[in-house]
Amino acid sequence: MFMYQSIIYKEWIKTRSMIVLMAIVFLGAGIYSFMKIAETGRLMGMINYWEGTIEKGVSFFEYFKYLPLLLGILLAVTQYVPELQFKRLKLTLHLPLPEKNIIAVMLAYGLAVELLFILITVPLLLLGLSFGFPREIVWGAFWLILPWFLAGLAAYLIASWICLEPQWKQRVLDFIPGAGVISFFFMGVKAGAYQPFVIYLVGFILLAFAFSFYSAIRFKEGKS
Amino acid sequence: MAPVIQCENITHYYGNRLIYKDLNFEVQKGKILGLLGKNGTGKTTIINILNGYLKPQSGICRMFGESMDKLTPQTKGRIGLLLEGHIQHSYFNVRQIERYYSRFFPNWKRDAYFRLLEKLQVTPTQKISTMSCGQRSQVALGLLFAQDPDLLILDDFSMGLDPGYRRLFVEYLKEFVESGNKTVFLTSHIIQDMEMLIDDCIILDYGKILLHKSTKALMEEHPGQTMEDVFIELTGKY
Amino acid sequence: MNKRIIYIILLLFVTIAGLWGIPELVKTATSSKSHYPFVYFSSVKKKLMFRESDGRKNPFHDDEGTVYTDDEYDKSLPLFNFRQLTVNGEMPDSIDGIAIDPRELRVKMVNFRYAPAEIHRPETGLYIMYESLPKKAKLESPGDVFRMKDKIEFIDDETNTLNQKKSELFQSALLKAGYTFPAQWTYGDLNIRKPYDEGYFSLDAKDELYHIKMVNGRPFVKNTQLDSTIKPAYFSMLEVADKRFYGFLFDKKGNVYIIEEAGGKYNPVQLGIDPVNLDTDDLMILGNMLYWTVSVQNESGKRVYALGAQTLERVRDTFIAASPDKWDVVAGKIFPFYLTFQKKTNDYVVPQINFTAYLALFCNFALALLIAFLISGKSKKQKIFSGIYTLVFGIAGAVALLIVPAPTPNPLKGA
Repeated sequence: MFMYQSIIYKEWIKTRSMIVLMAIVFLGAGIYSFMKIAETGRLMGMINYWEGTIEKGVSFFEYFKYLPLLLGILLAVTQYVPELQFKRLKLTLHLPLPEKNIIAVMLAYGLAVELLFILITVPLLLLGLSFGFPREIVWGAFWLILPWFLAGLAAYLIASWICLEPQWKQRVLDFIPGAGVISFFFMGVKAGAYQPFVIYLVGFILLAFAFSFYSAIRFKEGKS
Repeated sequence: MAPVIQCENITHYYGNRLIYKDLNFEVQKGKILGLLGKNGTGKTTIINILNGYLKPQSGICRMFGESMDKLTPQTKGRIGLLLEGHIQHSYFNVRQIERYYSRFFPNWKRDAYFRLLEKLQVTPTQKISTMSCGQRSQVALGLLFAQDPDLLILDDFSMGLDPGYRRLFVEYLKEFVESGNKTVFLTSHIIQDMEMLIDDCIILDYGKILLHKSTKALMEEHPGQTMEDVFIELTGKY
Repeated sequence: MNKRIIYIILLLFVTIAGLWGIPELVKTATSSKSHYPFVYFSSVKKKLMFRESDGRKNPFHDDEGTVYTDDEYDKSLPLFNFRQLTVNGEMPDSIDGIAIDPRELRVKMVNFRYAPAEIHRPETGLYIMYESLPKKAKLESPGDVFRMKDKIEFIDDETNTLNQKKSELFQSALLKAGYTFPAQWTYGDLNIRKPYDEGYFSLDAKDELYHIKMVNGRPFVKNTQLDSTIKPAYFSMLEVADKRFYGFLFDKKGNVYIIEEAGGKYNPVQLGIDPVNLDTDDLMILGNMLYWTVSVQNESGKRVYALGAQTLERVRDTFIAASPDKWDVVAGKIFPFYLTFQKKTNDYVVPQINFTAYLALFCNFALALLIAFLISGKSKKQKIFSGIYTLVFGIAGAVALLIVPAPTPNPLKGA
């Protein structure tokens, strides 16, 4: 158990500065979003704001659209690029633990960080919105931002897969379908349109967990 | 007694270039085996194959009786690995890296690590990335001593070190090995360091083993010559 | 996890991305705009008049094939081109003995569109009840919104709290009128930019259609008491200038009606068109004081009807078959099937497999041979697998096989 704590400790040391920076960015985006909502409410009048939202659809928190994606990518980069530099991953995989467990714990760390951001940010955003808007609009906002935050999880796993891949050429090839799948999360549709599709997005995320193991296998086979 | 390291019929190519064909060797317990060879003869390649980081075209290597692609965590715990260039997790500082590794090894000897580092004049909060090549090599060595493994695998331990640090490294290593029946498998292309360190040596040439003998026997066969002279004689000048 | 299993998962993942991404790229390069002509019924010629948009030399003709010049075409549609003809001094005073009054012409214009996405889209579930008889000439925001599912509730926008009094007022009015909750659906026109407001039409739990609005701040609730043979499926409010009707009702059989206001009663008048499929058909109505031109369009083509404006009985109709565009032709040759997540008739994101033509399977077969024999490596097992995989998944499968590196066999197997 302590051994896995050590791996988490290593991941924390690598990523802590980036996590703190992104927490500040998220906080800033949240504060700014609410400032803009309040300003729009004052300028338009709340009833016009409500009516516009009902008529045209929910469109809050646009500043958060790509933040979870950015977080996921940065997490993967800060975790795994140092491992591939000078092939340090050899040291990590040489630890007296099953190799798949090592990779799994590293991935679990990244997913946990991303999930923590989601579980803190989303409820806070919706709670803030609920002070000024009825529950239907808050629920609409939830369905609007959910795919963006799920994209963060997917982006982390896909970026991890790419970063852990030992061959540069293969990284470029992996990027193409990876970017394609990430675009599934950003189809530019109305709030709530993703309701029947969320299950598939979650499915992609669960599948993508396996990809990094393939890159690690290729690393162990000596591909370069 | 079963050998600690055993390689059987290892054949490997990089593309069409043959590295070795049917390479066979063993390392017995308590011995220090040096693998010597010019650049590009496959020294690091065999280290990678041994540790399961490269799949050879054919053949098998075993450490403590376990196949290289199926090393158990317990066996990995008995092996101390030094990568070429003394590569370590350089985002750690001196204290952090000790804390990180200590949890993996039940017999971790904290004092051994910090005693070695005292001589370096580094603060516990100094990041490894800010250290010189020589200082990094001592950190790597200190971690190995603290781990106290049964087998040390050192890939080109002298790379990037000035003569002072090289001599320091060799002295500490010899002292460590002599203290408790350790087995060492190391590679280098700096021959003069090896002469006073290794028990047995393998000289690799392109595609094959040129020689596999005890150091004592080799020097007796070439009186008046240094090991470097013997190496050049056998492998030829460039 | 077994590396072979991970390889298969990766392969499928990349294939799915390819089944969507590659056709999407090809579609972007090949699709062209629809070449359906604009069709409008001529009150003068008593024929359906066509204006083709495919760039042909003589784009104006009627449904019998007679070709017209630009000028002749404009004159054949006086009720559509009345502004231009009036400026030119060519507007007739009467048609079929009915005097053409410019004011009446404008007031009787009907412009309506329906697209399946209207019923396949996420709704907030909130509505706005405007005052139907405003004191000023224009509609004003009421300062609240309402929800209507298990009961009606008004929420004040300033405080974001329930307006208990107003909610109870409307709730009791609904119950008194016989409305049974929960509401199945409620439709109205949320747009404030209209001449007047007729509130909402709502289907209750017993399939009865109610008209709900606010008049002088008080609830107006009335059961439309439609014939039991009409099972309402959807209602689209259209506040027309002459206040002749409330909007268009679609029933579950696909029949379309207007709900006329008839001395306090609700009179459904069926449009003389074939039943419409709410899930697939686009409907467009361009009406004038004498005739309505109704177009119903789906994947198979466009049927155009001319209806008498008063009775809405069919006068004439024609069918224009869909012609495949370049994308359809290309897709039918190289993609036996492909993946999409959005379609025109549905605002929701839903994965769909679109099948094209059996001909495209030849492309898969040829590609499978190429992959199996030329590209896939030396192992017989891998060749067979690659061939079958490409046969099933086509171009996307072939690309996936090229992108995802196959697992290398273990040299220690058997050692």
